[in-house]
Amino acid sequence: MPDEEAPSSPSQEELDYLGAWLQAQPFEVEPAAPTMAMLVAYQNGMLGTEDIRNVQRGLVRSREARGLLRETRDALVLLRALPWHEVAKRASDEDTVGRVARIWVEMVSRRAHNATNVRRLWNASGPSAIRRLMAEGVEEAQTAWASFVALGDQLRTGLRMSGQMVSAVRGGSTGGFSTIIGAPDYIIVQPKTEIDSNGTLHSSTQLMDEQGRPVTSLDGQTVHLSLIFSGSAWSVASAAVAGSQLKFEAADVGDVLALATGPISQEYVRLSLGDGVLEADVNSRVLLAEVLDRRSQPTGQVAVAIELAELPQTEQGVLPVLLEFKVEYQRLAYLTHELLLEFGVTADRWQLLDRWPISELSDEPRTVLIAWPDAREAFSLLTVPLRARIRPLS
Amino acid sequence: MHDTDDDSEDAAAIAAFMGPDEHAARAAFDELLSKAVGMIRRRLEGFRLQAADVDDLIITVCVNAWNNRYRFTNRHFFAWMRRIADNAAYDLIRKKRFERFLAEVPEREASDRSFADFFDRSALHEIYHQADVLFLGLNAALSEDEHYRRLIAIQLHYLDGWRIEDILETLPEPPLAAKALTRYNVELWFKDAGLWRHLAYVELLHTPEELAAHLLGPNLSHANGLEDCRHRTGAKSDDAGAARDWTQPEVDTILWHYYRGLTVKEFEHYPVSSLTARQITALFNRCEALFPFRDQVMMLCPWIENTSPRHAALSMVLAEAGIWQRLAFEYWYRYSLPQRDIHKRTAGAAELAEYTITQAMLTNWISAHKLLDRLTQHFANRERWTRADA
Repeated sequence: MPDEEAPSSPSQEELDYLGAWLQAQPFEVEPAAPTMAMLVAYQNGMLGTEDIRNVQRGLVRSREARGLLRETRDALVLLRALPWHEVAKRASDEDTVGRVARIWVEMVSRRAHNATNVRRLWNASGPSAIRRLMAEGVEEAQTAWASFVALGDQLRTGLRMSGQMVSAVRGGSTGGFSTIIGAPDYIIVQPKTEIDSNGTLHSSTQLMDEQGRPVTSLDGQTVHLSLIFSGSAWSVASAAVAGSQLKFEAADVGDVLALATGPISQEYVRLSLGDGVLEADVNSRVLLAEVLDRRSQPTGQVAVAIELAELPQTEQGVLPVLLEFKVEYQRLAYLTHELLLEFGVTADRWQLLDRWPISELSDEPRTVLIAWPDAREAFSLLTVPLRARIRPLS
Repeated sequence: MHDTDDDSEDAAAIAAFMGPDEHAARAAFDELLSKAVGMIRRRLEGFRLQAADVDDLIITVCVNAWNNRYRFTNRHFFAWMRRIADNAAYDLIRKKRFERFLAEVPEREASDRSFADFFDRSALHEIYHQADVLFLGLNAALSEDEHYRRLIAIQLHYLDGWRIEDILETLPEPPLAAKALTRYNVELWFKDAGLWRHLAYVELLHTPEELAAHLLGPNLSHANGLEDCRHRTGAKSDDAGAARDWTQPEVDTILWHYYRGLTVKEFEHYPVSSLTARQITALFNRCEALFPFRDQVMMLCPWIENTSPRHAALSMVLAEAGIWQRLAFEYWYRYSLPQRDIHKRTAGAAELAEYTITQAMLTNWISAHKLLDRLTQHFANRERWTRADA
């Protein structure tokens, strides 16, 4: 029988053989009951496929393990909502929360340590390789993915904002045309980018000169399309120039970033040629803070733009940051609220870094000190997954 | 030389073996092994294996012990090594059963092995996962991990009383999930009869270690280094901890039969029990009276009747062949239980759910390989679909 063909029906002899073969296989050892550390990692999407399988089998077979899942969950819900310096304090306690806190501090610190270089890893590897590494449980890939998803939060919010807000946070081209980074300046493009109903991103453009004549000098060369927000660019698709035409397609981008079907403004799109790396050329970062209600649900109100600028670091594990509201009246509208700054540990798990009553922040840029999970070396917060939110003071 | 479980004089080496420093652990392991190797050899020789097999198994035991170093937690090193030796010996006994089977049949045509090659392309856990899909009626488009995720969700909600919101916050998204899980998705899962069958199957199935843990109850403390059984205690049924008045030879015999699967006949060949044949038979009769399967069905029937949505009524969960066929498949092929033992674990329990399992049915299902035949057809169809999709 050719190897490629599926056998149609086994004979009795074949079944006897198969049955004996199955019975001769060594016992598969049932995985050990998941430990607290495994359960913390599992709930936060930090495990690779093999470990997920073992933890899930352990949970299915043991009610005791599910009880431990409940305890670690309750502790994590509490810890993730505490400012980081308080989490670090709780880690010295001997109760369940303290034990979970010690594990959590270690895990978040490692993620924070990895976070600085994840955009470089992303742009060098591409989304497909990052996905594969994520499934294998590679921490850097998971952090890169978290950062990419955090970009989605910002893009989504940005796409809903008014022109005034957009001008405060714009990343890509402002006018009708833009250039391709790494290509001669006389070549201009006007990419039309949209998300279709399947969540696929499509983008197309013609390469032209300033007189609008097609340019074919880049024919056959590879161009990368990146999504960009506040100087932070993430490559999502690559395509070869065909004559003077460029067409990109990236499956799932709309779903992963939870972007609605429809066009994406050119503000958020950037093209680069060949190995042109899109590193942020800024020393500050704008975050669009979603406004929440008392139940921590989004209110749908216009997001509040804040800017974070780095200051020289003088103490390990503490980041001095210059915090500023980009639009003054927004601060005044939320004097009964507080501002939360969170770190994206994985794609859907955030750790509060710190919070400040907005009434205590002024219109002037204000220096705040943020306890940072990774105390090992000097650090830049400009490229790591962060989000800001505003909610009523409790 | 170590014939007892007294590890006190080796406490420092055992601590180093369990410690994070790999070099120190390696040195400690070598030191401990030099003391344990005589005991391991005598243990293996007790199985009446050939000298060459014993030599090979000693190496296997050492490799397995080192590779499973992270699983060693209870500090009883020599008892742990003895268990690894027993398990390695028993794996060899299983392998020899297969070799005997091969020796009993004439030279096989290459084509006779085509299905084995076909199966061999799948990991063993995938074969059993496809048995879940086929016999329990699970969604064939989903992965094993996703089926388990849904199973955990239904356990957390219906067995452990979690709110759906808490489940949503706790279960992680699969690594490459494009869309976030919603309450609506989870409620849809809970309407699936296949998921309820999967839940009932998991509750009814007792792996060898779970059944041994149930039978031994508090006597687990006599079961040298039996960590796996110990942590299963209480996992399945409420009376797992009920007092059992077992002697040490009875504990050992229960472990060999119910945990390692040594058949009654094999007790004659491998002198692992100090009990007589008559005592062994009497012991197993006592054990059968303690089997949890009927109690489990009596607990499940009213619970499913009152809890499950109408799409997953009791009649579709426990009163159909699928779940019992899946159990028979598991007990026969994975755990090599004799048909008589499978009947004892299923027939009485099925009867309570108004499903009848006769010896003739079991003969047809497992001895005549009808279930395996269906699974091979399922695999063949799956392979064709995959190829057609490609």
